[in-house]
Amino acid sequence: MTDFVTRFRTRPRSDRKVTYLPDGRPAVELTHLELDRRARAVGSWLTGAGMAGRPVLLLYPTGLDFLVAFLGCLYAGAVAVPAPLPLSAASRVDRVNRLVEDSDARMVLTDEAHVAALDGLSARTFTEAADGGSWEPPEVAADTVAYLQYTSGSTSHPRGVEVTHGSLTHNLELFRRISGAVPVRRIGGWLPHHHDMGLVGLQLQALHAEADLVLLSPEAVVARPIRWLRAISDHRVDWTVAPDFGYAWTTRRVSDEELVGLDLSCLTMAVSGAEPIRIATLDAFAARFARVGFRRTALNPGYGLAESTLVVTCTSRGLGPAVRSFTSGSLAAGEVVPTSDGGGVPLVGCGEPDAMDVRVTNPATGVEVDDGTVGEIRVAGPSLAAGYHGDPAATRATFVTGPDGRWLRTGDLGFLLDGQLYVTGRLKELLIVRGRNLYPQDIESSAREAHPAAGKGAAFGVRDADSAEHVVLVQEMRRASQGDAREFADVVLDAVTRQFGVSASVVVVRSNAIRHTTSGKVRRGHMRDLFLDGGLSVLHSALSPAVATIVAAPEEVHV
Amino acid sequence: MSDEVLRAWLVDAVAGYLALPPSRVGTDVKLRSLGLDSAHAMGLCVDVEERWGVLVEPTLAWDFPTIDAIAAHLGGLIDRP
Repeated sequence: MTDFVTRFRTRPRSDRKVTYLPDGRPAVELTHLELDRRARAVGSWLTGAGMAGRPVLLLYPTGLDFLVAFLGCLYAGAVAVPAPLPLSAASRVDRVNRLVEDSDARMVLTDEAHVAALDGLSARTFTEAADGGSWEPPEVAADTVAYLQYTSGSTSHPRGVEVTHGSLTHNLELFRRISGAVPVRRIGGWLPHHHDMGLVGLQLQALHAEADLVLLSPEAVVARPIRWLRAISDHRVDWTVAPDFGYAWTTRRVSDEELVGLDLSCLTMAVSGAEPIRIATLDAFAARFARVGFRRTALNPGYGLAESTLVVTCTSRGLGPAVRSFTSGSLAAGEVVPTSDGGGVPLVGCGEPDAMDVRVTNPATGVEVDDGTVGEIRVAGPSLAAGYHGDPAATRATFVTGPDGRWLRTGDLGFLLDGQLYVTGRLKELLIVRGRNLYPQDIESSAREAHPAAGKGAAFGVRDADSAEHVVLVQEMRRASQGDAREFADVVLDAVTRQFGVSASVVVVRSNAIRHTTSGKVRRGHMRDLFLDGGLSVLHSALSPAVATIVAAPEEVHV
Repeated sequence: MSDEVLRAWLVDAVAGYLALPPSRVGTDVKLRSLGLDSAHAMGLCVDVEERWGVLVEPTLAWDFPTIDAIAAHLGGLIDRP
C-alpha cells in the first residue's frame, strides 16, 4: 500500500483546496498543490535543522499553518506532536512543559501571533527553505512513527500514542471503504487538530481522499453552531464529523430564523464518534433539520480510539444509524436479549467490523465470548499504533501480543450482535465528556490543590439512561468536624469546573473513606459502586440535577 | 426594563441550555451546580450580547456564578429607557 505521504506527494491537485473560515475575516485558502509546495519547503528546513526522527511540538490555533507544519514534519521524517495551544491561564503552561518533557520534543513551532506568548518554551515559527521546490522527502518505512497523538491534556498522565506511517495510511484507507462507491468530495468541520478525530477524520482524510477541506474553529462553532451548518450549506460539504455533543448543542442552539436559506441536502456522511452516542441526540438532530434537507440516513455512528489511529468501525455511507432495543435486565446481566416492546433500552450500533478485527472478550480471562455477551472490546489490524511513547510497560499491558497476533485492549465494554458492534460502557477509568478525554487523576489533583483540608479523592463517570456521561468526585475532607462541608464542596467544585470546563458533582466524606488497594491505588470503581448504591457516609453532597436523577433511578439503569 | 424582566430572561436562557424546566432554575444557586459547563457559558455570553447589546467577558458565568449576580452585573451595563 502506498503510504499517505507518498500518495499525497505524488499528485497534489491544483483543483482541490483547503479553506479556513475565520470568524469575521476573509477565508484563507491553499490548493493541495500549494500545500505540498509549502510543506516541502518546511520539510527541507526541518531536515537541515536535524529534526529527522525527532519530535517537534506543534502549538497552533485553528488555521492552515498547522497543516503546513504537520505535513512538513511528516515529509522530513520528524515526529509531529500536535497539542492544544496554551491560552492565557498560567496553569496550562505546566501542561505544555510536561508534554515537552514526555515527548522529548526538540523544537516547538507556533505561528507568528503566538511566538511572544510562548517565549518561555523557546517557540518559533517555521521557515520555508528556498529549495522547497526541488527538495524531495526521503522515503519512510511503514513502521516509522509519524506523529504522537496525546489522548488528553492530562498533566499527571500524558500519554502519547505513537501512530506510524503504516497505521495512519491503513486507517485513512478504512475511511475510503466507509465512503463506499462515492468518494468524498468536500469535508467540513470544526474539531481541533490536536484531537484524533479532528486530525485524521477531517484534515488528513481530506488530503488522502483528494477532497476539499472546509475548517472552522471549535470556539466559533461552540459559540454559534449555525456557523457549522452554514459552512456545510454554503460550501456543499458532503462529509462532516463531530462528537455527540456537537450534534446535541447544535440542535438546541440553532433558531428557526437561522435556518432560513439553509440547505443540508448535500450532506451524506455525518459521523458521530469520540464519545458515547445517544439516540436522543441523533433523533432530535434528524427531526430538527429535516426541514432544511437533512436526511437521517446521513448519520453515521462510529467507534474508535487513538490507539487504533482513529476509527475501528463506522456505519457505512447511506445506511443510517442501526438502532436495536434490548431488555434492561439482560443488559445489566451482560447477556443481551433483543426486544421489540417499548420498554426496551435502545442502543446504537457503531458499524460492522471490516478492515480491523474486533473481538469481545471476558475482561478477566481474555477468552472470546459469544455474540450478545458483553465483554471487553479488543481490536487487531494494521491501524494499531506502535504503542505509548516512552512507556513500554503501558504499551505491553495495552497492546497484548500472543500466539494469535497483537491485540489492543481497548478498555471499552460492548458486544457484537448480527455483525454489528455495540459499545455499552467502559472498563478503564477514563472519563469522556464532550468528546474530550479526562483522567480521574487530574480531577483529583485539581481538587486536592483547591483547599487545604482536601484529602484523597476519587473521580469517576456515571452515565444517565441516555448514555450521557457525568463527572462525580468523592472527596475526603480533613478535620471535617472543624470545617463547613458545604463551603468546602463549593471551593472544590469551583476549582474543578473552572479548570476543566465541565459540570461536576461532589460528595464530601470524612478522612479514610476513600478505599484503595494495598499498593495505594484509589479504587475508583468501588467508590463509584458505593456512590450509586448509597453506601457512602456523606457529610455534604452537591449533585447536578442530572446526577441526582441517576442516583434516584432504579438499579438496572446504572450501566 | 426591570430587573425582573432580565432575571426571567436569564432563567429561561439557562433552562434552555440545560434542558431543565425553568422552575428548577433558582436565581440564587450557583449555575455550575445546575450542570452549567463551558459550552453553556459560551452560549450565555452570545445570547446576552445579542439580546441586551452589551459585551461581556467569556468568564461571565464563573465571575458572577448565580443568576442574581449576573442580573446585578448586567443591570449596571444595560441602558435603561
